[in-house]
Amino acid sequence: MSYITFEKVSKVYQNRWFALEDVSFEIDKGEFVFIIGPTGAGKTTLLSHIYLKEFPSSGEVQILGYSSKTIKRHEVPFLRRKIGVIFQDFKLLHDRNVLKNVTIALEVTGVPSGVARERAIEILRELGMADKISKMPNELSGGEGQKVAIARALVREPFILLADEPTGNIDPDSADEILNILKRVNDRGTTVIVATHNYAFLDKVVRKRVISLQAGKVIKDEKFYIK
Amino acid sequence: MRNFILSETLGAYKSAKGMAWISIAVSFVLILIFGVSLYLSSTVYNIFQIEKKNIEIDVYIKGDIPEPFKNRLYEIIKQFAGVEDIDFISKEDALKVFSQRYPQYSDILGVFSEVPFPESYVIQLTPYWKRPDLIRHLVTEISVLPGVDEVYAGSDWIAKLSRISMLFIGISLILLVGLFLAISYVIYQTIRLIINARKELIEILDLVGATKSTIEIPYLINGTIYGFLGGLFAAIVLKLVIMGSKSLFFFKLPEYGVIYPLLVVIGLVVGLVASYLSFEEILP
Ligand SMILES: Nc1ncnc2c1ncn2[C@@H]1O[C@H](COP(=O)(O)OP(=O)(O)OP(=O)(O)O)[C@@H](O)[C@H]1O
Ligand SMILES: [Mg+2]
Repeated sequence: MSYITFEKVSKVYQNRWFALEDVSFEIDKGEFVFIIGPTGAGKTTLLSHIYLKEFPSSGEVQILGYSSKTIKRHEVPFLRRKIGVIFQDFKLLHDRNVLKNVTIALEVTGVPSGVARERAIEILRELGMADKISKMPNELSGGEGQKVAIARALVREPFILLADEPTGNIDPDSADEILNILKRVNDRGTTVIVATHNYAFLDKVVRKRVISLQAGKVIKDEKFYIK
Repeated sequence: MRNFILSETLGAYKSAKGMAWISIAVSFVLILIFGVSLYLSSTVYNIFQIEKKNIEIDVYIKGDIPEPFKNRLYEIIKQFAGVEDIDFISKEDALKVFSQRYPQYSDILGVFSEVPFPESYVIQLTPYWKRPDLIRHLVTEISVLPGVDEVYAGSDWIAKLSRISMLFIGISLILLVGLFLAISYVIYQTIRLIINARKELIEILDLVGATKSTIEIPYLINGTIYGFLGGLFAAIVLKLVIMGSKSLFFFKLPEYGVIYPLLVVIGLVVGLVASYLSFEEILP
């Protein structure tokens, strides 16, 4: 069974523009998928339909057993707990330190603070951030900030990790490091979906799938398993 | 989870401390005004109830009518609707009552050769007839009977009291509505300000799978506490004023214990409703 199914999904904003038009594809467990396309192609919109921030205007999205057609409002948080999301601007909370930025993802679901803390420290250590846990977000470099965001996304061991332009604000060396982290996450079985217009990235991942969008339509869907 | 809710509640308060205290102050003043009005209503209404229970009609009889005539009058009055019981008060009874009530004047009575009080009938009414309009009707009917000198009911005063207590109750109700709207508005705006200051946080909570109630509860707690504190302070001030009434106004005001918890509950409910509306409006 596939993790994600888009079936003839169209999205119209303000009833006049197709941000997505008739998009269909399936993504399975363990895939590494790039969503590429020029600015305004609909990459962010597509990712938003996976964690149901947006709902299709027509068509259907199925994710991890939930359907955009039948999911209840109060079930959406439970879907979100199975999906990690990171963004170009990290979306960290500037009023609390690194550790608290990570534990919050566990605490809101009722995990006891002690357990949340241990789990967060463990994942931050894996990402090489052990010595930064009590730093505030504004004391971090771009690469470090994104690592905190990744830790927050991974701390609940999601089935799917979505990354929207994850290296847009980061210097090239740190960007490579972030990409390596994403590959490692994928190697452990997590489905990873990266939206980017940084085509240079594509060559750095061997086993990958590339979905190309243009003006809201899928114009190419290629799988590369051997370079 | 408890830790999370607690720290978010505190964080929400800290992001608009000034407005929070303005909310509490406004709630306090308005609930206190309502409390005073409710207190006055209760007092007047209470007096009205007591007086209503004690109401009776005094029928003074002309001094020169013969005994059989008096008995006849007694029988006639007894037939009137609303009359439960009649007592005959002789001149001597009247004198006794007078001297008991005003012992300091009993000497003056010595100057009269005869007891200066008229004979009278005191009519007790059935509970249903203890209404100003019915009493007035009865008084008119009795006063035209032969042998009746004067009829006194004190019902005009009761009628006035009844109108005043209704007025007070009406004012209290209007105040209650006004207070609900005004406090709701202030708390609503405060919570709105807080939510807007914390939009980023709320967006992230939503992203990491916090349920709506988890996100919402800290704001509801804040609004509820603002209203609650306003009500609590109002109740405390009212209680202190009434307790201290003896030294403040030289007489002791009666207490109505139910008012204090009522004020607190009103504050709490307004706070809860207002913050709920605020949250629903901004983040449906
Ligand atoms: N909330 C919205 N309301 C209205 N239009 C929107 C909204 N979000 C996106 N759009 C429009 O939908 C189209 C696709 O936008 P989207 O953000 O998905 O593109 P993108 O591929 O992510 O672009 P970029 O590379 O610049 O991030 C654009 O034309 C955009 O203006
Ligand atoms: Mg985008």
